Amino acid sequence: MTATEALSAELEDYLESIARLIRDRGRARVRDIAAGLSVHKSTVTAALHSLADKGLIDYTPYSLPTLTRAGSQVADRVQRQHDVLKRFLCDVLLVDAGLAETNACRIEHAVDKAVLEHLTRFMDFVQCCPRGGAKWIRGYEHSCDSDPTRDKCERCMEIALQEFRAGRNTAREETFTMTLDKLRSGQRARIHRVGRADPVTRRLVDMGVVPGTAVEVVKVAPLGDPIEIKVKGYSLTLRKEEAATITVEPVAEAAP
Amino acid sequence: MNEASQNGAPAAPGAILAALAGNPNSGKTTVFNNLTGARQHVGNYPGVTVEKKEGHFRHGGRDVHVIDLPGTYSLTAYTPEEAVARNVIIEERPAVVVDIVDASNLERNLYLTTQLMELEAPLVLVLNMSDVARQRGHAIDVKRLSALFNVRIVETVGHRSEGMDQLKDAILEVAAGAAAFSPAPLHYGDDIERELAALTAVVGREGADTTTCRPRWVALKLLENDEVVRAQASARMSQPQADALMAAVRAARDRLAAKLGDDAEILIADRRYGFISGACQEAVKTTVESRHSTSDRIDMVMTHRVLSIPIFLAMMYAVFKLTFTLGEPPMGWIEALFGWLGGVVAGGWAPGSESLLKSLLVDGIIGGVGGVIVFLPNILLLFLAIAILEDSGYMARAAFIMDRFMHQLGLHGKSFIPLLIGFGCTVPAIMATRTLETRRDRLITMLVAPLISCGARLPIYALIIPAFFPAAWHARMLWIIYLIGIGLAVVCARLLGRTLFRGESTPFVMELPPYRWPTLKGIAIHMWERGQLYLRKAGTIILGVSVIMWALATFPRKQTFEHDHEAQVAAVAVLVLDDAEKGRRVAEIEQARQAEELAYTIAGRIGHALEPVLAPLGFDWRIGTGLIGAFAAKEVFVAQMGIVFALGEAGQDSTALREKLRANYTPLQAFCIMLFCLVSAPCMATIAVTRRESNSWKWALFQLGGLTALAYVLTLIVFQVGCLLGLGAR
Repeated sequence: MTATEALSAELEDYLESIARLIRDRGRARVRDIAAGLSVHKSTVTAALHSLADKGLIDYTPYSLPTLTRAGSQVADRVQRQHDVLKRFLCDVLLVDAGLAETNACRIEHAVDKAVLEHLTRFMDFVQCCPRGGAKWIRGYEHSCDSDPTRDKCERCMEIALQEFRAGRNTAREETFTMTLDKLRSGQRARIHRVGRADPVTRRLVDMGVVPGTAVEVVKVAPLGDPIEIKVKGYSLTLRKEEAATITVEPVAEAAP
Repeated sequence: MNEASQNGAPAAPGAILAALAGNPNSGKTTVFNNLTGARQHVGNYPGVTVEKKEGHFRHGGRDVHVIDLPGTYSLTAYTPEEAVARNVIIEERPAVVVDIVDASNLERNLYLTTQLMELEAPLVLVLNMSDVARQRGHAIDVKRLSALFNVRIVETVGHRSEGMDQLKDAILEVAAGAAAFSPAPLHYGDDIERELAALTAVVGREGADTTTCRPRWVALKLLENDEVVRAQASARMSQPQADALMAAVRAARDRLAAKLGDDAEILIADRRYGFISGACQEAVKTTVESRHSTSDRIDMVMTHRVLSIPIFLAMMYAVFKLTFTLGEPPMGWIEALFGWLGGVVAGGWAPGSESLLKSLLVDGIIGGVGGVIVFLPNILLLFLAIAILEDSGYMARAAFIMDRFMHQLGLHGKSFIPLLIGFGCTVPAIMATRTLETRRDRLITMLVAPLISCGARLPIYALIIPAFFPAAWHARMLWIIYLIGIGLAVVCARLLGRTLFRGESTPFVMELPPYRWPTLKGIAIHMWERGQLYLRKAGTIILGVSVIMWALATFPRKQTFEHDHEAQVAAVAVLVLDDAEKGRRVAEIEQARQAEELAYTIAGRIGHALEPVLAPLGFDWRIGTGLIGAFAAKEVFVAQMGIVFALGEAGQDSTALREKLRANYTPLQAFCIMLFCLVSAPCMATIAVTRRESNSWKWALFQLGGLTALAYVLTLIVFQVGCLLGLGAR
């Protein structure tokens, strides 16, 4: 790991970008990397050579770069750091998504692993604790406008206790409302959540539709239902009613 | 499952038991065919519609008995196939489980492998279609993969029979010293492992039945909410023990859901895929990434928004044509052959003699065997078409294209083919339901298939329509009858879906496998299997019922007739007439005798006895007798009506019979006859095939009873309402 410790922020960005492209689109073309990082293609080629020298990617000119084991470890770490930071900025501090993205990009190179681990744990606590949760965070949003008074707090705690006893899971709230059936043909997305514990969901999960997996809607059947998707490198068809139980996070469109 | 293996070809003592597991479309059947050749046996697992295929081979001086498990993606208890596959591994403890994996679709195929590893079965992993994988630019580091999964790996190319000897070697090797390769269960991450360890302890403490599988596996399945394992685990427990175990399971699931935000079964599946994805990253190098495979390019046309439907319809037309048009000449030959055979056998007796044995041989047995074999060309040709559609990968596309339409009718996209075939003949139609995967879809399609008006019913319409309806209405009447059949099939399918099969979920979720060239060997074996199954299982029932039907229409034999026919014949002989006229009169007398004989037999008596029951439908005893004959085969109705009207065995174009009918019945009654023949009890061959395909008499009898009751009620309503409206008048 000595080589990777010394990896510059710039190269980390390249690795992250390559990993994301491979995950989302199945391959990382030089022009997509260039477009994603807003740099020139020749700059990308130079960076790829440098990454290959460090043993992080397999790359020969005119072929597609693939990650080595060490490379994907680094990419994973950077990606995780990025996600944690972005989630913290977005979900807890309620920073605007675009601002959160750019700031996460800048912070991720500077922050230490230990700090991030603490931040992750703190976030889980805030989101899962019955006294906290999404509502509590929303309460913070309101507190920016009004002064919290003691009797309001008491009332709030009572409600939280009631809901907790009723067994309602108030802690986590869906942040993604896009579902698989609503995607257009050709659109790509990442699975966020698969429906409830029923045989249909079970079958989907067994077929590889698990959270975090990249999917692409290939086409809709001529009569408007079912749809065909690509997942884990093969074609799967499912009815729209089944696809509606899957929430997804659309990924950016392919570069022209 | 011991019972099942007794049904099948018994394994020779000392033989190694090997089970083939794998995803559908992984080329498992091809490997099975390569290993065992024609030494195969097909049967059914008891109580389910799942097929059991077994075979054997000899290698290195050892006998190996191979069970081809049903193709599955997973080993849950949600589908009968998966439950069966799991049970065989747990209960029959094969010495080797051969997991056949499509190397070009590694990640999803390895999912089943992880579950086989959990069962701690001695595994041989077969990377099949390794040539396709290489073509797609996947370089698999077999050594690395073997180390990661701790299994023996063999690379094969099923359709070229490559790697079969290595596979046989590997089977013997693993069977001999399984310890060297005993895959370890996966590690599910700290949170799940903690719950798993706690639950494993509870399973042991509360005394769950772990004689056949390990406590950890039981705990894992309980955590996954597997109902079958839950029932089995608590079978030998006292109530408080079972309650304690279930409480522990619920608590563990709740904790995981709260902490990790998903149901345990999803989390576990996620971890399995996580492990696979990691392993593939290490062991598979992808050199070329092609955005569009050949399959995708073919699909640009085959499932095109506009083109796909005409292509589909053309394909279906071709299947229908192939099955029936190409099947017609051989059917004619078979009929001619058996007619000739009957003539030869009958020639052994003096002309005019009435031997019971002759009648049994000619009408009962030769007629019955002929009636069985006559379907064979249709069945073989249909399965030729189905094998090509399935093996090439088009069948899944057909379902994809038609599902919206069929789903609205309460059926599955793949039900289209059986129902279409039903217009030709119900027997192959019911056999074609085999392409449907879920029990619900198969049974519903099977039960409503007889409502699609088959070709054998056409002679009835062809006889009746011209007799009663004006020429301008001939085509229209025929359309009406066919549409009534289709409409009833749709209504019944929806009704069954909402009543008997309610709550049985049917995920459509289905793989669209890459297009492949079907292999000649695969198709030949598929056709042979179906033909053999039909002859052995359904054929024997049909033959038996044929003999019974023959007996019904023969016994008791009338000894004393109301008219002395012989005296009448003698009287004609002395009349001063030319020979042609004499012949005509003798024939008339003979026909009258036949009619009297038929009326005296059990069939005739049942017809008479049924008269009060059939009267509200507008049917007399003659129609009743004809309907009993129609149970043997629908078109027999026409011949039977000829006999009861003393016209001999009349054909559908007999004008004499039409006149008789017109003299005796009204158009309303005629319509009721057609309606009843359309809906009522399908022929005995249909019942026999339904029995065979549903693997239970219950469904066959339900079909018989249900359709007959439906026919009765519908005809009753039509006739009574028709009479009220004054349509009953002549």
